[in-house]
Amino acid sequence: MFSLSLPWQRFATVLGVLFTVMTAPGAVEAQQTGSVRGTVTDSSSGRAVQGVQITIPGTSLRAVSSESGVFQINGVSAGSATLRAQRIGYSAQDRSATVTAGSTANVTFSLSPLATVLTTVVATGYGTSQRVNVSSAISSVDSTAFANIPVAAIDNALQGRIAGVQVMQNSGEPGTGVSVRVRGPASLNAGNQPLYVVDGVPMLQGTFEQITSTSGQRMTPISGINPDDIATIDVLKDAAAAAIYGSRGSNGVILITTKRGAAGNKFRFNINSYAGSQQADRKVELLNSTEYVTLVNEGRANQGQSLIYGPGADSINTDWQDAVFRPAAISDVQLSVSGGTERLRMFLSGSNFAQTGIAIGSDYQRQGARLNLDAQATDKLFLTSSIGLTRESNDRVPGDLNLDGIVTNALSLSPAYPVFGNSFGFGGAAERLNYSNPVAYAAFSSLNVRTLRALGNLEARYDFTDRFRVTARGGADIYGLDELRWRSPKVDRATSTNVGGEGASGRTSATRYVVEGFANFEAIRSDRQQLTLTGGASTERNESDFNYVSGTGFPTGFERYVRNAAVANSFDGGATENTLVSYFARASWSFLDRYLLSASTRTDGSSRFGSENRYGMFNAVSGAWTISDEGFASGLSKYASLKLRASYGTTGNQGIGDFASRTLATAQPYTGVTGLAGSQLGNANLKWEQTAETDIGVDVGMFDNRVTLIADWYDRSTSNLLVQRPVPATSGYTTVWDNVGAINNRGIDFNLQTVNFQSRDKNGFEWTSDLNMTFNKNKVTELYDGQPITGTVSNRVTSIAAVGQPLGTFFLIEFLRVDPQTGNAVYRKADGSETLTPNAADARFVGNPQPKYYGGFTNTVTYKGVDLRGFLQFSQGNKAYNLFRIFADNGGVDGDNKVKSTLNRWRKPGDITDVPRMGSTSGSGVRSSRFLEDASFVRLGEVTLGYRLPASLTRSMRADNARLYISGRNLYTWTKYTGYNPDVNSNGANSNIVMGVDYYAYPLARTFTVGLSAGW
Amino acid sequence: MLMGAASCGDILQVDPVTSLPQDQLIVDAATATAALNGAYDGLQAGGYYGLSALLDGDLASDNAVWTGTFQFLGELERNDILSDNAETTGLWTAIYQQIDRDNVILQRTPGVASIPQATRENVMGQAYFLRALGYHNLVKFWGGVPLALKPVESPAEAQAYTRATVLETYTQILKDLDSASAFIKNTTNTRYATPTAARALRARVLLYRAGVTGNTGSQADYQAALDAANLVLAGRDTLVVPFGDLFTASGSNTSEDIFRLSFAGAETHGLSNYYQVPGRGEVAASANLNAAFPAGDLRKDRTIAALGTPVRLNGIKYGARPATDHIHVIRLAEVVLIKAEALARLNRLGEAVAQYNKVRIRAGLAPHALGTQVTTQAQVISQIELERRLELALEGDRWPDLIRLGRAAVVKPAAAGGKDIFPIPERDIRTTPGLVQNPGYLR
Repeated sequence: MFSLSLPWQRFATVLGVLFTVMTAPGAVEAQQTGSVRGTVTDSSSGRAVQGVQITIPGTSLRAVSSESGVFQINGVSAGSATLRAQRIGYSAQDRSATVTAGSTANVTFSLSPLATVLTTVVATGYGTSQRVNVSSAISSVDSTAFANIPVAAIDNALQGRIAGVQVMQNSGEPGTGVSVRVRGPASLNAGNQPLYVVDGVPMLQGTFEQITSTSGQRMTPISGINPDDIATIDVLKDAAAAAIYGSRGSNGVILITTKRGAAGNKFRFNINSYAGSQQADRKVELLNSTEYVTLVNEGRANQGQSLIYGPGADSINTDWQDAVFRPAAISDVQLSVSGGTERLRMFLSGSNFAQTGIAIGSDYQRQGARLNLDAQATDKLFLTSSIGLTRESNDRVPGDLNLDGIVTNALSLSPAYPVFGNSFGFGGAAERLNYSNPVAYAAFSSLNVRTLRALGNLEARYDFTDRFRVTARGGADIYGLDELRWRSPKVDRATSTNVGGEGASGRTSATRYVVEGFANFEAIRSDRQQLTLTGGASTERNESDFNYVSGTGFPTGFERYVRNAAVANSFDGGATENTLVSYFARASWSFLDRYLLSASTRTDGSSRFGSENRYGMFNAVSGAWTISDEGFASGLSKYASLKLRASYGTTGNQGIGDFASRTLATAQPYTGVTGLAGSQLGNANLKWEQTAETDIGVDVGMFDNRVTLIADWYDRSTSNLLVQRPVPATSGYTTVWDNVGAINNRGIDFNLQTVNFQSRDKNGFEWTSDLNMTFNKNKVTELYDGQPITGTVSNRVTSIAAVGQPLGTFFLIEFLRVDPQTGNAVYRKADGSETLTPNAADARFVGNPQPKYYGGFTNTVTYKGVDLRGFLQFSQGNKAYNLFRIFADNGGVDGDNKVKSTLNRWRKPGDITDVPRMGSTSGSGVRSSRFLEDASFVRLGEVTLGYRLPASLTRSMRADNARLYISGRNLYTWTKYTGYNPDVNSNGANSNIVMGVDYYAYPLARTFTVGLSAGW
Repeated sequence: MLMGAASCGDILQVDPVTSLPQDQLIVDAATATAALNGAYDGLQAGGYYGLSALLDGDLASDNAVWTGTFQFLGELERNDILSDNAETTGLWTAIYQQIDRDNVILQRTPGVASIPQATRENVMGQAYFLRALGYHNLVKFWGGVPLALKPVESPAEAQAYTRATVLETYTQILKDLDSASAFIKNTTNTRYATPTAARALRARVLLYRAGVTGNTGSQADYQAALDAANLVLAGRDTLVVPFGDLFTASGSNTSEDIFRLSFAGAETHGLSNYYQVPGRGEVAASANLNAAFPAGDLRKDRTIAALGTPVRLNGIKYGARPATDHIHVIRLAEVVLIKAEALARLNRLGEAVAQYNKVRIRAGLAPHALGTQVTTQAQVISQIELERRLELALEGDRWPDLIRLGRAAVVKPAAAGGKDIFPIPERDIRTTPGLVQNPGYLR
């Protein structure tokens, strides 16, 4: 049995003494007393509840229920007495008893569990559990946190909401992916995005676009699920929780449960709708025409060159950002019907989301429908189906990473050029525009991406007994993506200008089929202990195929479709496939409700791995101890619950190409004649990346659970990294996929929820806060041959994975200062000396794109029908590289417009500044740490004011409830960063090494919406 | 569970549909021929004849200058090449990648019984030719190199390689060329190797080997180079095609072509983009080369186009946009000049002058007479060096010539101290313990 170690005994004794002192009775009336004896049970489970404080208010009499829920209070004055039972996690209950002197009265309490953070049901993968019974690190978010948030995809709405989960927006372009990192990035090549599982079916992830040159951002398949349809999100953070997902669990698992109908012979109709307006939340400060001309001429003069601009050259003053950004509408309408009978329940919804982009030419729309059915076919057979259909249409604009993009050219075009002119009505080559006109692009060119998505499953559960249930499930995720790009010849200075326009179309379809079966068995179910066993198997097949064609040379008047092209200048097509076979099992044992032990194992076979290492096994064990339930802590249990958790487990990552382990050959034609040649050297020993994680956590509830703290310390070591390690070129190849290298993430995350003020009135004033914070420390600990791996943005090295450094450390020339005598930039050479002209070998580690800590802080105030919610998001200690400054802060060299801060340039000996002399030889354009900026930020992410219409009014609408609200999102960002958005990554969501580099990223939108939700 | 695992083995066996397991690469005559075409495709790579093999041979010499932004090209121009230089790494990599394709053919083809004898010999003969060409390009730029003569099963095999000596490398090249001459059946299509191409390459290889320091058989090599050149030139020892017709945008095929690499459609080389503005303009012909052409040399305007102020010397020998003009890997004029130099080295100076005069006359220049413009053997050899420089300008021959002639550090002093040959790429040094860096690059 459980024996306490010595220090605990001592602690218990101290506590015992403490409580004895606190509860020492005063003078006891010796006569006229009787006793009260009784039991306390849980109203939902019927099981005994121990540790319950039984008091008689107005007296000092009290007792604590035993393990079997029994209590006895002696010395109760004869007559009527009121007993109160209190325990953390339950509603307090009063009972009256009539006590007769010298005898014992009987009282039974049946306590109802409180719906608190600690008692909510959490999804654990192939099962659910109450949070009190969870011994691993799982975070949950319910729909109130993300309902009606004006974003297309749910991952975006998770930003700042979950401890340990870092969500980076990367770009403000509608419908594109965000980076989600659960407890830090740990992979160099196999991907760092978590696994998303919707109603048990792992979603298709990754990117499927073929036209990728337009932007560094990619459409995210996550946007295929409508946030309004989601009931809860559970994040499996530590390895013990995620190990049940085996070779795909190492980046964490996000379990999404959609809404379902409730029984009650009643149907509820809900409408959720909002509409609003968006605007770029900030502009980059650039020069006006006069300033631009002045600085360029000053630079020329400093170089002894002839001046380019004469008087009047600044007669035109165009603000290209104003020309490109616009106020843009956003709206969402969702209707749902839910309800049913005990035998058949449903949830049906339809929605339309429309987000016009704040940059011209950009537009996103999504229509969705969902039908979730639950049918109790027989007493023992339960059938469910969950089917979501989505259609998206996204007009994308060239941006991030693209040197000829809308945002790019809004930042780079000289203000001295006009928007309108003689090139089909727009300024073009004749007006001396040195780049294509973004306004003309939006008028004539386009990239439309359409997707169709069906994601669903059918599930049958059969209860052999009330303790043994078998579930069979078949799921599919079917995703079709069509791209159609038109680059018009009417846009001057664009790539398509001289080839008669370019039309391209790509079509991709991807399908995932999942078939799985599992059994849940409550092997032991007694008052003292419960043992639940889960075991099952799963197979998964993923297929995708694609084709692509682009043509040039369109006759005037014809556009877009290659039918009218003179030449097909590029084509492609292909297919790929992978399979996964898995077996999994889990045992969860709970003893006396306070000792929890859980173990899980999963064996995954993946077609991607080498023939020698197809199968991998992932094991985890976790335990928890609810200290507050111990007898010695019985005094504590009135005020607080305290649970200690510890876990260890391993998870995997298999996010590599389908045939990375194989030695392959492909077609390699020689001037039109069929050819074949080796294309890849294989590795029969290739296996998954492995993460081993230790997690130690506490769950604390205090003061009637008005304060809840869930905190975890973790140490994640990812090893056997999947990398393309270098091999001698003498082999005929340069790389081979191999398992080399390791990355460590270590940190603390916590979530603190407090009810700061709670009025006794039902509709009185209430104020709650929710704070989550994560301190993560990331370090690359091993690489092949110790060799660093660099990451590039637009072919420029900016970032590195190097042993001893955080992943993605900025690797740049270090800028020291501007020489006050010459106005030249001074850089540090590798040997420590100083130079004006550093070279690549002088690059150093100059900053970390990952924050020291990040998190979110939500405050909600309700009073009568009014609710007010504010959400602050923060990230501190991270740097961002504002790479566009290599052209916009380069010594006034003619061409691109410059950032406003270049006005502080060095002008004469003695000037102290950090902006070098104007002119091409002052070293301004060197890709150095001069453009590395502090990207710490605090963002007022959301303020929502809602008003619940009074019942009288609602009734006149024949509604049960109705709420009106106004909401602002992304209202203000406090940061020193000078680009649009400190929370940036132009390389997109799937970038592993490169983080925090801004190269013409699409700005974020500030959004105001007015909404209504009502139910009938 | 284990039984379940075994039965699920089939599900996990997924084969690609757009590529082929490499052990199924050559299974019949058609796939053997396809593999050969794949080997020629390897020559087209940007790291090889698609750009670097030509670009680097001039950029490191006095023929070309760096005018762009790629620092690694600047290193080549300054003969201050770091071992991780992307350009030289790319050249080394592309050549070995091409050699691997030859090795696959040479290893797999003999075992497939269904391939007719003539096809097998033709395919293997051409693979021998391509491998010889590859190793000669390696030995020209790096000295002795690891001799990979069969495809590797795993990287460990390549990680165990060591360098052969320069002379061992040459021995292997000549052995391959013997096989090539004996086996190749193709005699007409100059887009593929022919026995004549094998002999012409043999002449080139012997001329280079004769110049190798420590080669005791130097004179014999010159004689053998002369013999090989004579075999090629038998019946065609004249240059009658106008120089301008040798390099046309459509990809010329003239009677002077011995082996050319064709480009068409989506397959393009990078030379016009790198040598010209508009284009990347990374490299330009040097003023030194521009000035080296005598007045009236018809080749100058087919090699260099001077544009703009300040003047930029666009290299236009391979100037087509899109770049689908053919790369003339071995052409008749080079063989004529090989013969001229071999004769000069054998002290048959009159015949040598007569040979190089063929190149001069076609270029519209007055022929030389022994005793007038040139008298001594050194003068004749020096004149042949100049004729090679002008005739083969921007075809990648200048720098290997200077190395061969021992004049690299004279023309480019920065190349002194063993920096004439290129550094072995850092990646290979780090992954191959037994691979020794060239002395000029040891730290």
